[in-house]
This record gives sequence, C-alpha cells and structure tokens, in this order.
Amino acid sequence: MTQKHISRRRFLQASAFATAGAVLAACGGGAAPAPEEAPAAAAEPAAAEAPAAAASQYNEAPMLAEMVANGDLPPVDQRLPSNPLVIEPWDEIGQYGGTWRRIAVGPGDAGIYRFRLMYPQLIRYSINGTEYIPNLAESWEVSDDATTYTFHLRKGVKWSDGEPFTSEDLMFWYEDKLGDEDLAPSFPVWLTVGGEPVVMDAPDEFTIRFTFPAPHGLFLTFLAGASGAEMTWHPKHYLSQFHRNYVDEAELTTMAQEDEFEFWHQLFTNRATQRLNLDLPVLFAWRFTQITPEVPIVMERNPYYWKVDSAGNQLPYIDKVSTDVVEDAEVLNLRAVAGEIDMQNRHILMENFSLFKENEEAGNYEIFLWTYGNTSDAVLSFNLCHPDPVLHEIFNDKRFRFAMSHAMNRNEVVEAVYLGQGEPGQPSPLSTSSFYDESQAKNATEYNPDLANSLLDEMGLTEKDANGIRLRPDGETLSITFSYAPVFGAWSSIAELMQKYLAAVGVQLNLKEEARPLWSQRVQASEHDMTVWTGSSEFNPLIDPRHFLPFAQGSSHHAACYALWYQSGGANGVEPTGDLRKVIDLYEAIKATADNDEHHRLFQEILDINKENLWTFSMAVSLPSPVVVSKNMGNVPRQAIATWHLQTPGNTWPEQYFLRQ
Amino acid sequence: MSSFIFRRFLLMIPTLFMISLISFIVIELPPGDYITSYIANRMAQGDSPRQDEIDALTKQYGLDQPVQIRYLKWLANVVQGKFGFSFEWQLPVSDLIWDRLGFTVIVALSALLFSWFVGLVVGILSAVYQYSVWDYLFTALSFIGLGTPNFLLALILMWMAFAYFGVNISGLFSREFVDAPWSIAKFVDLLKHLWAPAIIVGTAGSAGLVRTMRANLLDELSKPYVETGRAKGLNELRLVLKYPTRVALNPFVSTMGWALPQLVSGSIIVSVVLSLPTTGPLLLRSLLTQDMYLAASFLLMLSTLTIIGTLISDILLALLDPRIRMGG
Repeated sequence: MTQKHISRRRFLQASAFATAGAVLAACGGGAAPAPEEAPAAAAEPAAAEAPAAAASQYNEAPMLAEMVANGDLPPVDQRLPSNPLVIEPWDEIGQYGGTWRRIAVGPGDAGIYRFRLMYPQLIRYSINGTEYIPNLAESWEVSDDATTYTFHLRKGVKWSDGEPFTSEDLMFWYEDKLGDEDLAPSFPVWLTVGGEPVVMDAPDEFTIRFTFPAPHGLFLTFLAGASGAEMTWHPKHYLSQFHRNYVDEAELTTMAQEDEFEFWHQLFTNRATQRLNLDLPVLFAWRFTQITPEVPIVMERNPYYWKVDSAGNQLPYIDKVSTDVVEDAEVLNLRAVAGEIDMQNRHILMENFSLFKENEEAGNYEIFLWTYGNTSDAVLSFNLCHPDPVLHEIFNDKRFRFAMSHAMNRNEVVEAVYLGQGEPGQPSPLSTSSFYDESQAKNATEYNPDLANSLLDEMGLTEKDANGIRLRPDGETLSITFSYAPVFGAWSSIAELMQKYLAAVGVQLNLKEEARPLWSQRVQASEHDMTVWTGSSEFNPLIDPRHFLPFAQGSSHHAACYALWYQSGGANGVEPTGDLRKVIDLYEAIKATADNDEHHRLFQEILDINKENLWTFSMAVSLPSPVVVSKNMGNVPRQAIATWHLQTPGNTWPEQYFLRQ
Repeated sequence: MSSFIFRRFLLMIPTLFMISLISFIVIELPPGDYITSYIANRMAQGDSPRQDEIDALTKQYGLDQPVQIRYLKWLANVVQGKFGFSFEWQLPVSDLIWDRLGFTVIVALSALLFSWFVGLVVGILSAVYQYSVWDYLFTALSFIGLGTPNFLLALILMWMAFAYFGVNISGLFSREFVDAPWSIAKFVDLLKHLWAPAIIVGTAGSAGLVRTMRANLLDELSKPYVETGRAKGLNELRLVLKYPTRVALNPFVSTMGWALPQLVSGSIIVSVVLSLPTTGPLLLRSLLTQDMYLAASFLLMLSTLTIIGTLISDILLALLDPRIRMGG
C-alpha cells in the first residue's frame, strides 16, 4: 500500500501555520470587526472551494447515472450546490460502488450514525481537531465581543428528496423543536450563557445568526463537535406535518395513537429519527433504506449529497452501508476476524488486539491503530470532598497526591495492561493539541517509591501497624477504598497493580467493584475514597475540562461538591477556595472571549495550577484505538484521532472511503 | 373433562396477572432505568450524550412517570393485545417478538426432533444390546452429553468449525439470505445453519431420553408377552418395535408438554453464543438494558408458554392415565 497521507509532524506544522494565521488576523483586527474567515486547511483532504463549475464538470455513480438516463433523477449539476465542498481524498481518487459491511451491537449503534458516520454540522473539526473547516456553512463571522455568530450556508444544498436546504430549516429546529417544551424539556446548555438561551434569526435564506446575551467564547468549539449535529436533522418541509405548531394537536394525538404512541411528541420524535423513518429527508452521504426490525440495517447513497472529490466525482464513492445487528460483542469479534467487517472502530477493543492481529491474513483486513481522543482511559482521583475529616485532610494535602503518583510503576502498567502501547503520562491535553504542555503531561510520572515514602513521612504518617501499613493521625490504619464501575476491562487490572504499588509505600488499597448506577450515585454524593473514569475529548481540553477543574458534578470525581457549586451558580455544593476556585475563574474567563490566543494563555494557567496540585493522575496516555480495515477498503487514513466530539470516523471523511472493485 | 380444562383456563388468568406483576417488580428492582443503562452503554463506546438529550429521552419514554402508573398503563395495553414500546429498538414490542418466536419454535422443534430421534434409536439399541460395547459407548456418551452445558458445546463447535473448516456457524442464515425474501435457496440455507443449534440444544435432552428409553425398554423386554411373541416366531426387529417400544414411549408423550418452555428458555445462552435470531438473546439484552416493556412482555409470553405446556401435559396425562383425578 502506498502511503500518501500526511504525517503527524507535517500536520502539526500545518496546524501551527493555521494557528499563527489566526493569531495575526486577530492582532491586525483593530477597530473593524475582523471577520474570522475559515482557514483553508492545507494538510487535510482539503476543504477548498470549487471554482465556478462548468456544467459537465461533475461525474456521478453509475447507479445514479442510470436513474438520470431513465428520467428518475435530475442531472448531477442540478443536484449539486453551486460550490460543493471539494475533498482531496487521502490516498487516491476512489472507485464507485460496493457495500461497506459493519456490525452493530444492538440497534442503537445504527442510531448514532447521524453523528459519527455523517458529521453533518455547519462547521467541523479537521481530522485531529486542531482547526475548523467549512461544512454546510461555507464561511462565518464572529463579532468582536463573541456574542454574535453569523454563518453563510452553502447555496443550493438539497435534502435527499431534492428539496432545498435553507436557514428556514435551522429556524424550524430553533423555534419549533427547542421552543417546544414537550420536545425539549430543557434547553441545551451549550446554547446558553449564564442560563440565558441563544436567540437565532435568519437574515436571509442562506444566512443564520446566533446571538447570545453575553460573550460565548466556546460556541464554535461546541458547534464543530457532537453538539452541532442535531440542528441539521430537521427538514421543515417534511417535519412540520407532525408538529403541533402546524397541525391541530388533537389530530396529531390521534395519529400518534394509531401508531401505538401515547403523545404527539413521541410521534414527532419517531418521525424525526433517521433510523426509524425511511421517508425522513437527510443531508447525509447515505440515507436509510432498510431499518429495524429488518436486519441488516441498510443505507444507500444520497443522490443529492453536496460534496465532490478533487476530480469532480460526486461523493460518496460507496453505494451502500450494510449493518448487521448482533446482541453480543463477542459475536462481533468472531465475525470481524472472519473478515466480515470492511471498516469499523466501534466495539473494536484494545483488549482483543492480539486476536485481531493474529487473524489479519485470514480475514483479509488490517488493524490500524488510531489515537484514542481522550487523554487516558483511566484518570484516577482522590475525593477532595471526603466526608471523613481525617481522610479529607490527607487527600487535600498535595504531598499525598504526589506521593501516590510517584509510587506508580507506570512502565510496568504500560507493559502489563496496555500491551506496550501508550506512554506514561498525567491527564493533559493530547500531544497533538495546541494546548499541550509537556512539562505538565510528564509531571510526577517518574517511578520513585523512595520519594513517595519520604513525602508520606514528611506528612507525619510515620507510625505503622504490624503489617507495615501506615497509621492515620487518629491511629486507624491508612486504608483507602478504590471504588469503580466495571465498564472498562482495564480498570480492574490497573486497580490490582495499584494495590501492590501502594502496599510498597505503606498504604492499604481495597478494591470495590460497584454496579454503575450505584457507583455513579455514590461518587456524585462524594461518598467514595478514590475512583477512576476516562478522560473526555482532550484533543481540545476546552470542550470538557472535567479533570482540570471542578467542572461537572457527575464527571469531576475529584471535586464533585465544588463542581456542584459551580454548576448551580453557588446555590448548592461547597464553595471552592484557593486554586480550585482560581481554575474555575480562569475557565469562565475563557468562555468570555472568542480570542484563540487568549484561550491558550488562560488554559496554560489552568495547566500550571494543575501541575502544581496534581488533583488527578493517570498511568498511561497516547493510547491506541484499534480499527479494522479490510484490504479492499481504500482512503482510510492510518493515523487519526478517535473520539466522540470529532464524530469518529466522521472526522476521517467516510464519504471518500472506497471499495476496490 | 371439559369442566376440568375450563377451570384450568380460569386459573391461568390470576396466575398470569401475578407473573406480570412480579416480572415488573423484578425488572424495576435494580437501581437506574433504561436511560441510565443506555447512557452507560453509549459512554462505554466513547460517546457523551448531553443532559438535555437525556431529559428529552426520559420524557419521551415516559420514564418520568411513577412505576405503578407505567405498570397499569402497560397492563391495560396488554389486555388489548398491545405490548408497549421497546425503548432500545424504538418499535412496538409486537413488531419484534413474533418473528423471533417463530424462529424460536423452529429451533426448538428441530432440537426436539433431533433429541427424539437420537433418544429413540440409541435408547432402543442400548436396551436391546444391553452390556454390549455399543451400550457402554452410548452410555458414556449420553452421560457426557447430560453433563456438558449447552453453551460450552456451542463454543466448542463454533471454534472447531472456525479453526478447522473456516466457517462461521453462528446465526440462522448466511449474510446474503438474511434479508432475502423466502425462497428454496433461503430454506436450504436455513437448513445448513439449523443443524448446529438443533444438535447443541437437543444434546442434553437426547442424552436424558436415551437413559429413559433404555430403562423403560429394559423393563418391558423381560416381560412375558415379549417372550410369547418371540416363541411364536415373530421377527425380532418387528417384535421389539411393535410391542415393548410402544409401551416404553409413554414417558415421551407425557414430557411433550413441558418440553416446549424448557427448550425455549433452555436455549437462551446457546442462542446468545450462536447469535440466533430467536427470543433468547433479545430477552437477555432487554433485561440487561432494562428495556422494561420488552422484557416484561417476553417474560409474560414465556410464562404463558410454560402454563400452556403444563396444561397440555396435564390433559395428556389425564387422558392416558385414568387413575388421575380431575377434581380439586
């Protein structure tokens, strides 16, 4: 296989240029509101704008050409927008045709295609999440005070039934979906500032404007991620027939009850869900043509898809996506090694890596190792809100936390648990991120039990019991319970190794596996000693800085009580002081500006404070995320970041994958 | 007799009601609900759904209502023949289960046929040639068959088929036939896949039947009427099949009633391992994901099968054995 994809280093250079460009633009801004133009992505399957297209410029799939010849479909130039999004394929111009086989565990896996496979947002992230790329919006402007965001939609984009996509459809989502309390019991938090919701308006057919009551510096950050998908799912011309603002509610309720629903909003939601409704027009590369209870779930190319490759071929290359549904991940593994998957990342776990690797030849596929998009799959934290005053004091002493980190033999963990993949590191932005600071990421990762012992001694924990376990100031043995939910396989292995490392420095660790709902309740109420959870989208740490500050009660397990205070605007929880308060203030300052430069400066301060306090720690970072790729499948990049907010594999442009015929 | 059957039918109603209530309570017992387990599954795959999506789901699924309201609503619907909505599939439960019940019956019946065939033939051979090499061999094999859990057999067969023949024996159809309309080719394809679950599910049953058949037939073979027949010069094969075997068949008939629910529920783990499109995996998954209406409907349905099965076997026994009293 020839490799023409862009190396990570080259990519970083390009991203650095892009960032520098943005910085220059920001500096030169002066008085006039400097429209922040979409940076042209140099090292991507480039999202460049096409020159005005001559009528014969585009090619289409044979199956569509046939339909055009039969008069069932308008010609390709009439189906494409005036300036389709042009994609430079990763490796080569592909061939039309073929069926991409995937396997789902439960029908919900097909339900998330509208996120992960399609990536239909107005703007999107580049493959590593380092920059924004135009998508349904071809350009956008941000007001200086970060309150008003204006997007210019690509003209002539059509829904899969041929109807035009306009700002009306986005307004339908805003007014009739978000504005209806049955359909949206709570307003999306990412579209609010200080509890106040956004105001959307459409100055013309192809312009949509978001106005916030106060600066919202992270709006683009969220919009380009998973949150931004939903607004593009609502064709007004189709869905208004199921909405009470357009049809009599009693009539809708009767309709709903005929379909075994109870309320009209259940019918609306059902009709607005792609995997449940073949008639729902979409903006996706493929639209559903066979749905549950039939299996496999089948999707076919959308004849109106609005992207072309650099040779003018309308995308996608692949005719069909066929997803079989199995009930159990083990069956999926067996089918994968038998070569029954053409390309898939979901449910392909590192713990089965050797099984997949062994059968590469027999199954005619290859395992690519993409990069896991979270800092680590195991971020460990002690409960700084602990109700027991003695443990509270111990956990809040940073010498204790540093001692714990130094007691860990990370190299051994990497070998034993992560099969030699990944490297020792602390919770930090991903190394591909422009927020990355190596000194923070490698802080206190050195295996040094002597240092750990002397730090604990220094704290006054010098007395030991007969088993060599240290005594707490109140005379009890220093015994810590590590509670975790059995969600990821690696956690119990890590916990067992930690037990050994902590015993070596005179701390007793008890392991306690709890059912997830129970565990979740207990950690939110801060009743645990220590626990573990994954990182979250640290390719861009601004999205969800749960491990860097008391961000959310449900996910900042080191500081749930302080996070509750932050979330509730001071009404509940415990008011944080000192550094824990400072990081919250810094994050608030980040939210108040759209200036990328300022984001970096402020987040660096947060990282510095984290480095000093080590509120959370982890064993290994830069972990792999395995992908099964058939040898017949082309244009799948060997290197990519896999994470929810990049909508993986959406960030690798599945529409330009192709099957060698 | 008819009043006996009528009374038994009447008794079924409170029994089923109690079963539905208990099923519902059991499903509600673990902490959390469908939404929490759905979110947990999504999170385990690296997705992070937003809180407002979760709120909307909770409202849409009616999980913001208290449990007794949900139970009563569900019960009222069941009486009308509607089983409610599956949260995970987002489909009416009735769209999901009938196909699967059909395949379950197919698998169960072929397993039943397999176990009867093996049980009869091997049981007769073992009895007629008692203490021969064959008898010892079959005795040993049937004890192994009884002692091996079905799912283990399934795993071993699957692994051997994959490792030595490079075929995947899971499922009931090859990929190209799964969504094809019914045809001769599809039926042949079904048969190609059906043997594995039939053998696996049927093995334990046939091992038991071999033992029963052998013991019953041995009892009969030494009776005077067999000797008489033999003395009159009857062909040995005809003699054995026509007289003692018929008598020995009685237990087969009387177990038919409860063979049905046993095969259906006994094949759950096998169906999961082999990924069969039967009720088993769907039931198990609905319990794991707390998809309550689906799970409750399944439990109700399986209980109905059990009750009907018991009823059938009671009726058959009453017909066969006049000593059984039909009164209270």
